[in-house]
Amino acid sequence: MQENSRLKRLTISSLISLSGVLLLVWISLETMEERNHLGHPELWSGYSLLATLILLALFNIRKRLSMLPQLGSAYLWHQLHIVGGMLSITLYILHVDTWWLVAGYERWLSISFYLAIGSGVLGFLIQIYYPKRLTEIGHELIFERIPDAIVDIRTEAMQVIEENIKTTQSETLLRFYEESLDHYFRRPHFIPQHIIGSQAAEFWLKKRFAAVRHLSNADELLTLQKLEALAVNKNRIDQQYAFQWVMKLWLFIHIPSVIALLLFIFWHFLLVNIYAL
Amino acid sequence: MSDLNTKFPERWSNPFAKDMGDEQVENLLKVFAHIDATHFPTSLPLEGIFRNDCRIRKFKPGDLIIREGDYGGNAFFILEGNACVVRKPSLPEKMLGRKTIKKRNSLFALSQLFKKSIAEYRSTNKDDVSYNNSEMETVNLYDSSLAQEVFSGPENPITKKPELSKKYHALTLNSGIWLGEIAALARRPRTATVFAETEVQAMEIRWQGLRDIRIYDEVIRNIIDDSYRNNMLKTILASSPYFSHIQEDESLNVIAQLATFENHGNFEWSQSYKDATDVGFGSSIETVIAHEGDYADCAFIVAGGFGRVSLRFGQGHHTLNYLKAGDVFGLPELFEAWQDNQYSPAFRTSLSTLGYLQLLRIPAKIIQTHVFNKKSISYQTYDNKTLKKFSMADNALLEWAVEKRLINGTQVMLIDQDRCVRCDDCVRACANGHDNNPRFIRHGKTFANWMVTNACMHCSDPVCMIGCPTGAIHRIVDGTVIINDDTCIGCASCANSCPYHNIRMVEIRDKKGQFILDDKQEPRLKATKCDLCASQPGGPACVRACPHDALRRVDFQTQVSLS
Amino acid sequence: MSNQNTNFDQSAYERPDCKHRCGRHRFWQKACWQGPNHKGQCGGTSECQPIKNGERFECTRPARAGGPCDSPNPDGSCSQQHQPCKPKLSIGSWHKRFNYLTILATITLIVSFAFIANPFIDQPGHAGPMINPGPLSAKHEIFTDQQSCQNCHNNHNQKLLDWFLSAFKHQDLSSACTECHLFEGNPLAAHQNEFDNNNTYAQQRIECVRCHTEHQGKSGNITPIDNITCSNCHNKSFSLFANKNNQNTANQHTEFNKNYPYQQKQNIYFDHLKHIDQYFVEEQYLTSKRDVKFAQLAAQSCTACHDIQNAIREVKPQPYAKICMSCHDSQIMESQLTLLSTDLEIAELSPIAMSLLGTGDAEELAEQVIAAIKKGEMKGLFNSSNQQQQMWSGLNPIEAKVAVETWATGEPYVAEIADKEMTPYGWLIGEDTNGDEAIFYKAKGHADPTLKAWIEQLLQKAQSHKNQDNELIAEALDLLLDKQGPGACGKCHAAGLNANLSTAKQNTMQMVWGYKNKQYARHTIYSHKPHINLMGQKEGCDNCHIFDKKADTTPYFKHKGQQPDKYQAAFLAITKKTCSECHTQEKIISDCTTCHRYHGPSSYKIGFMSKSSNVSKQKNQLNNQVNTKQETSHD
Repeated sequence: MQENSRLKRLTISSLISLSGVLLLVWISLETMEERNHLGHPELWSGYSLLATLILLALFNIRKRLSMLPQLGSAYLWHQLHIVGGMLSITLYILHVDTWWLVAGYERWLSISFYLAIGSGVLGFLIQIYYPKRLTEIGHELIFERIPDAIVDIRTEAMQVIEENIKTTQSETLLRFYEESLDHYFRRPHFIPQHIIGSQAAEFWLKKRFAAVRHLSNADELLTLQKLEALAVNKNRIDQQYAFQWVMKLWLFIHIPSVIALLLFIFWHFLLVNIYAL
Repeated sequence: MSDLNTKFPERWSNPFAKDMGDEQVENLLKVFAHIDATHFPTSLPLEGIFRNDCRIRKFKPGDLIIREGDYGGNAFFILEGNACVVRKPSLPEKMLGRKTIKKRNSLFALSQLFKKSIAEYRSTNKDDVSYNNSEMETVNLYDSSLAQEVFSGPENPITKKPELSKKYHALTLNSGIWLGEIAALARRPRTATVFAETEVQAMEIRWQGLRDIRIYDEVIRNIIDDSYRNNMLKTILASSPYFSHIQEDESLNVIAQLATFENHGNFEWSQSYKDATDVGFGSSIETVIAHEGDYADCAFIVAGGFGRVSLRFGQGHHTLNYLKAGDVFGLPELFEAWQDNQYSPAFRTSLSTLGYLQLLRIPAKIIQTHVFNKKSISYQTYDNKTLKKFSMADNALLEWAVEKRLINGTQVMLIDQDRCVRCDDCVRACANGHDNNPRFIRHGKTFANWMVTNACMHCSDPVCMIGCPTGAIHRIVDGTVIINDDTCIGCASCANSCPYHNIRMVEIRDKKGQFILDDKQEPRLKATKCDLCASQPGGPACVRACPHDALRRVDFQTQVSLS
Repeated sequence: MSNQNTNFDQSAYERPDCKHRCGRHRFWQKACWQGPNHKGQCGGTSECQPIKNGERFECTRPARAGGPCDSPNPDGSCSQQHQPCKPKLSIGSWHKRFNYLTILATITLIVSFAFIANPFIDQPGHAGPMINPGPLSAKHEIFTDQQSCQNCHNNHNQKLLDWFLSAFKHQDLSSACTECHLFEGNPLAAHQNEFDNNNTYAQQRIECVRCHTEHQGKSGNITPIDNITCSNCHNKSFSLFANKNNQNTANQHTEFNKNYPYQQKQNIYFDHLKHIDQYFVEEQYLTSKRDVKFAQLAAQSCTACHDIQNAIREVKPQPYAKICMSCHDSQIMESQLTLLSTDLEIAELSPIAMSLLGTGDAEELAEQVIAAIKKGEMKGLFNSSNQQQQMWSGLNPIEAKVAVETWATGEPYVAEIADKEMTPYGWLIGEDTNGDEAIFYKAKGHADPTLKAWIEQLLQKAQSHKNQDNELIAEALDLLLDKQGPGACGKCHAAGLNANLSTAKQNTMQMVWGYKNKQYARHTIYSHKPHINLMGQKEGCDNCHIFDKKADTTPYFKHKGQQPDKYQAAFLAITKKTCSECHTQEKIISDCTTCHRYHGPSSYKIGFMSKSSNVSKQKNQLNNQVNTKQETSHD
């Protein structure tokens, strides 16, 4: 099953990539041809770039139209989107002389393009890297249910401590909870550290637990084990939260920058055709 | 009579028919006077079975009683009149009045995108569902446009209606005959169409009632077993590619004499499965029917349930494959022995039960005489080298799926967690096709990077259908299990039965967003689940919606195993 | 251990399309099971709606919310009440908000900075930075004060809808340029249609802005073109003229034409090699009749003959009087043009005269002329025109009549004015150089107008009889243009004519008397001056113009039987190597525009200045550029 799927994906990706390369070659040749007689090479590269960007933007609409089988699978569109993105970078280079455009709106246009492409590439990398990390962590949770899971941990932790107090008549663990775990169990923590793959959270927990272990008797140690298990679980949840949050956040940069880009392109189209052609 | 403390079956709180009066119950007791009521326990009296698990049905000449291919949990007993069972060939599909799901066109499908409806909105204009809604509206064959062509035989002197054309092999069944007991007991589709030749009065009994009668009464047990045996055996042989060439009745009779049915495991495996998985451990290997290395003196055909084919591996067993109804075990070994004149063939793999397994055991000699001698078939077998070179990681997913009984599913929603970016596009696509109501949740059991999502798997043995009082949950011809929202009464028996927790009860709302309340002022519930987008163009939208090719609907046997 | 309970009664559907989520998540509390309603308001203030069962009320809280609680309130209300939450937006809703905000911000940015003038620019009517691509060059800026951008961009300042719709119509920006700038030929054709060939690229329209981009700022100079622009069309694109080692690499300029710059054949019989090697140095030629000193000088230095002071594209030879007369003047006055001669018995017309009169018997023609002379109506024999008058300039008709009458008596004619010495030139009547009595003409000197008129008249006649075999005309031409013919005109001036006559394509028989300017391709330029300044007058010529001693110049320079196809210049062709000794990397600039021009002569349309309101100011600034402007120092 995996082999077949891999082969199918490879076939689709290869075909689409090949088409993209052929398209690029064709447009480059036409552009060069245009340049050869001091024609309008920017028209070729410009309209191709526009068509490519519109195709890329249509992906967002396709995502809402899965009920129509005639449109093809979202995977196919995604591959088109990736290849189209690469194509748009090369077409942009063909179209534009310099990396930093200075005049008026063109600067905004180029900034929005760079933002769109940059966030797109970043998103592509995020979508390759983070799902595997999430699988490795395990403890899969739907993002919207993370607060509920944290509440459950918090509740269980309190219950465990209350039981311990009844048994041992000692408030050591309660104090430990108030000093360390109360804040920790309130909401996700160590988000930036999790994003970059640091072990800071585990280290912090180890330190805190090590500190209280010295002050605990045998019963409390048993309770501490339960608390530690809960804390480790909470840490996994935090990791889930961090990675899933990143996987949702990048789109908040990508889509608005694309919207801005398309609006600036429309303005560019107007100005070029009214003033320059 | 029972006292107040007697615990009757829970299903009797929802009797099969509301209108089973004393007179009708008395009548049935008279008909079945040969059954000794004293054999039945006080918690399960015969009279109670007749009152709560049976109903009387009346059919006019031409009325369909049983439709071939339907899944049904009820059996019939003809009280009066004659019925006709059509064997071969089958009646034209158009005559049978099978309800098909009307597929929406693309434009309508697109318009769903712009419908912003309240979650689980239902119109309150519809009438209350009739409790006695039968799973099948009455279809009369004489009313069909094809009636003239099909009923082109001579006129029946009694009914004054034309008989079936000679090309149909049909059999008349008189009163006192059981119908549909195989489908009811084995959870298999109906094997033939039965219609009323004359005015027919029949007792319809749900399978639980039939099962209980069979347990406590030997006569009925024998009748049913014989009938089951004869019909089932012929059905199994006819549908198996290795035996379908056997047409002569003599050969069939010989096989019937010497072949034996065996039942292993628990027919109600789903309940034990739920109990087992609820406490967190899966089921380990169960009854072993054939051991690897044993002398192979027979072959097995699976009649029902699931069997595991495995190989000894260290202290455990490595699953190679699983077998469903129609699959064969032990045939390659016998064939090789017959070819090489080897006198001591041995099973190369082990066969064990997965929950419940019904087998037809056929002795080696019969196979040699009636199969190997008469038909050349290519056998797929496992080479010793192939078998031995498996690593532990091979088939691990299948192993796990077998353990969790996920092999029951024909459309298991598997999500590759290494590719899934948790974007929920699949859930949105599902919601778009169901009035903004998703029909699965993106969570479930996981193995390595594979998650089996809580979406209906459309099992080959759909235990959820057991116990539906209205037949709202039914199976259509292509195997999709669908809940008819209009006829669902929200009793939650399907949701409770599903061992995988893939059916969810939802509180339905009116146009103001308030819960719709029933007579008792409780929020009315409806059972909901994945229907494979049966009414949408193009099949399941979730698969099309995933931009990373992470989601697929699989049948573990065809897509994961070695065969 | 899993963090989520997947049981059907513990886990409800997630609805990512819903606009809101339970607000308790804001504080990391557990969401209520009902969730916000479709209006976005809290739906979970009560955890259930208790139902009455007999006398008691029962809790209906579902299993996923914890199952039924201990007991509802006695009045039937739910005992588990909460403050209403403020539902938070779902991720989908946040996306929508961000998107709408972006659309709003972008449109606001564009609109506000496009149609509202930039307050920092102190010029009304200028477009904001969202339209304005930058300031104009100083030269064009003075035209934009009145109508601003509309001077060039017709669509600016229109009504909004028209302005928008003009994006879908073709504009002609180049017409704004050509409204003021004039060029020879079609300014939008490659090199102004100089090359009338079938090259498809050359036929296509090339907009002005392809090479000249405005809006580069006040100090921007839009005239200069870099090499890359030229190499757009010229497929052998080269990045340099020559590399410093003169190695022949692929990215260098192509080699010059084979015979550059001597492709054009000379129209004056001047054989450089003969003159330099023989006529200027050999004793036999350095007679007293010639200016020996000059000859010696000329043998050493090109500038003795070529006018180096006015050297531009060419270094033209100086006038006849300065360089040729000292040797050739004596030859001019030696031979004569005979009209009529007689040995006192029979009068004969010269073939030259006869050919001009037309066909007819020689004797009859002679009698015709004699009769005309006797009547004093000789000029009437030939069609009257200015040329005709010049032909007879100085001929006394009375004297001619007397001479003819005298000859008829068999006596030689003696001029009446006996004591007046006969001038040795002009129309003469009496004994000629051959000893016959004749009416004849002798050249006064170089460029004698009468002889010139006679030659041109005969050439006209030959032109009109071009396709006919006319022996008389041919004979007459031979006589007239012989190197020892009348005035010795043909000695030097028939080279180009002969070349014309002997080729199949004889479009015109026209003598080009003066030094024929070379026809240079408009797109190449060269100026001798800076080169001479650098290399010196005396030795400078030799650097590039090297005599080709092996050249066989004879076939072209012979008068009878000239072979114009075998013209060989007396100099070796100038190769790229010659130029690249200096014009190479790291030495002297060698851009395309150093030697090439795209446009030919250009000028401004009259009245273009009126476009600007500040005419007087501009007149001061552009004082010298109002009239026709030639390309600086070239052509």
